[in-house]
Amino acid sequence: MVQVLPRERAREYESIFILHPDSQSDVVDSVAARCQDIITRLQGKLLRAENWGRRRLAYPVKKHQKGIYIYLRYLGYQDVVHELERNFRAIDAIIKFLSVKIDEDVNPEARPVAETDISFVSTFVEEEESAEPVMPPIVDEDSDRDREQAPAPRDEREVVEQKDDGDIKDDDDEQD
Amino acid sequence: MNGTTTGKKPRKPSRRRRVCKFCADKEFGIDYKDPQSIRYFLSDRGKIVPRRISGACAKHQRQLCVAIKRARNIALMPFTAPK
Repeated sequence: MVQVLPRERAREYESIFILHPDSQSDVVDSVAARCQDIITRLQGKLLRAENWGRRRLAYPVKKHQKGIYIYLRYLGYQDVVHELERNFRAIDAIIKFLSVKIDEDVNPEARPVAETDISFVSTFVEEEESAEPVMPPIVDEDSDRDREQAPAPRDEREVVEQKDDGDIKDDDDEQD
Repeated sequence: MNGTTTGKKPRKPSRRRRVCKFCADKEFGIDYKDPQSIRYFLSDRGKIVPRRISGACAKHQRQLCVAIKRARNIALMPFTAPK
């Protein structure tokens, strides 16, 4: 039995979907309108919409190296994500999508929406080909230090031998 | 033999403990939508860096793991990277 939330409390979700890289702005607009329509039809509330522009994908998706990212944040009930994702699957221009629940229990009145929060026009500059990481990569210093501190493999073996019981040690001695 | 072994070097005391980046700086959030900020916790091959190396605390490592997996799902981060 699925628990139904009272309508005055909503859940907050966000969805990201990737559009075909060659999609024109009219496709973006039609998908945006469809999303807005679904959310409002199901008594949800669109809080934020962003167009991240055409970005390079970390791996090819349906043989595309790039994609147009659209980000949506909305309030809704359990049916809204299901309906949105059903539509994402049906729209050919959408090559990948992800929905995440952010908050379980939100009062819709407490989340005002500004006009400027919802925009499907890309304001992001096209990503440069190789973005340098902000921070330097982690170097495994511990293992380096181990190597420096460990005297030599030979010594290590001696320690192991000393730990063993006498019998094994004796056997080794005989072999020597 | 027992008790007579000499020269057994005691194990060096624990290594310098790295401080969890997220505990040290509360402003530094974990967000799967910002791959640049969590790329630091990914190896060159795209693997998640273990906690003993990155120094992240257990709580933040768990959150980090989820964030990286989400970012991978939506192609913001790679599952693997070529050598």
